[in-house]
Amino acid sequence: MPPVSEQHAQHDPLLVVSLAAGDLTGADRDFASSLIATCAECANLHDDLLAIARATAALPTAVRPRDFQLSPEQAARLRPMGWRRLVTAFASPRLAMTRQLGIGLTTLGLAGLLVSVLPTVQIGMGGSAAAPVPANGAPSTTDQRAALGAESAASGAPSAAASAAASASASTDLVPMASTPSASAFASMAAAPSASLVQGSADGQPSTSDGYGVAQSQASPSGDRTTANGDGIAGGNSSQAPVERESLDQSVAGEPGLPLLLVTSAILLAAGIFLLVARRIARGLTGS
Amino acid sequence: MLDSPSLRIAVLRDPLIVEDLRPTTVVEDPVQRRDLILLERARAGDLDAFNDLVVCYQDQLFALVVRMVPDRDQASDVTQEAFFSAFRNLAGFRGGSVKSWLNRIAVNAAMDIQRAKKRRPVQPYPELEDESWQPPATEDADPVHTALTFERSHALNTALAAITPDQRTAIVLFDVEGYDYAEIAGMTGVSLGTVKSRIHRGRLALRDLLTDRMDLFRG
Repeated sequence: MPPVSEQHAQHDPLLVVSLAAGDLTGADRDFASSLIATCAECANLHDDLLAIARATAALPTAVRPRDFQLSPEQAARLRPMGWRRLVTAFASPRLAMTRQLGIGLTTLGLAGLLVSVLPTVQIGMGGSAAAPVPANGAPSTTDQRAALGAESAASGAPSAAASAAASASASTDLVPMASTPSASAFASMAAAPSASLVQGSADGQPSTSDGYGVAQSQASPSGDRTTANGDGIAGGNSSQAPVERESLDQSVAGEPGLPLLLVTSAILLAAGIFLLVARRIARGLTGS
Repeated sequence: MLDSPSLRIAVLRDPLIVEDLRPTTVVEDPVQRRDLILLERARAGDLDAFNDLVVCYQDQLFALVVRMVPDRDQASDVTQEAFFSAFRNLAGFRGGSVKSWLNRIAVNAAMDIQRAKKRRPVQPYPELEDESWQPPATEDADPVHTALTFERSHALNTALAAITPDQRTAIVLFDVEGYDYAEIAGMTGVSLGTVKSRIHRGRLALRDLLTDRMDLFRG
């Protein structure tokens, strides 16, 4: 049988402390009780802890050295005035609903921002996704584009004939651009403004359309302009890119609901965050 | 029309049910009811009502603070600051026990001063040599018992000053003030398990510190 001290070294003193505090139940209590029963040092520890707890509870009460009542001058100094009155009122439990209100406004603002910003993000994705479209419908190298541009310039009749159908479809919606899945959101959102802009720029003349939609349509009032761009589709696309971006921005900005929703959501978000932060600060300042 | 037979019959058939519209959450404890009345009057700007609350609780609050703050003068300042803070935040009282609310303010003030003084440790409990700290001796008191009580208090206070402030606060609130774990957790802003751990480890630390003087506490 090992010495008591070695045996006690393997025992958990916190278990004995918990037993002395009356915090143990069930198997833990039984195990701790068995420790007390079998280990003399655990039993001593248990008794000492109970004695210390008794002595702590029986400590004599200290006599206060002075009176702590407030004088009228101290009270006047302590009464919240000005902005402190506002802070105190803001931190009071009577305005506890400001937290819920702040959370609600913040949630609404975030949701509104997501709803208003998400289409713009899709436009960005749609633009980048629409770029490979010529790879599907047209040659991608510069020589091939030049050849295609020359071909379209030389054969005005087929080009006009081919673009007639495209213009007809472009008058309703941008089918070639919208045919890519990522651009479908843009197409559905900006169909009407872009289509009218395309028609206005084309002056009613048919335009070539092989998948570029707006740019190609704007570049094709005359066959010479298409060839004057140098490299046909590629040149037309690069020179018309700002116009395209502008038309996209106009189409987005022209959506009447979006800026309103964006501004409203931003206001709601700001108000919600302000309420949450202000109450937090007010409660911190008042210590409540 | 009011004395028509049909109305009389209807009244007899469906007697009026008089509802008790008084608030059902009536405070039964007369001390707590008194505190709430004083607090409401203090909220309305009555300084005398607040000072009545101070008179009721200043002894208890100082006794609590002086166990947590080693320096007696500091404890006095902390107690005064606690009453200042209570006066400033009368609007922040959320109901419940006024005593617990005041204690919470005092505990927070004491913990703040302990954290601030952690970097500059002071001589623990210099007031132990002060006569006012000792239990008052009566004529018929046994001198041996009085000396033993003084020695025990001295040793225990010295050991209390040597453990960590968090453990000391938890032990004082539990053993001296009689709060339960949940109340201490609410006062100190920590979890229930943390409160238990602080009390257990604090008691173990006290026992280690008092190992050589346990004869004062036994029997």
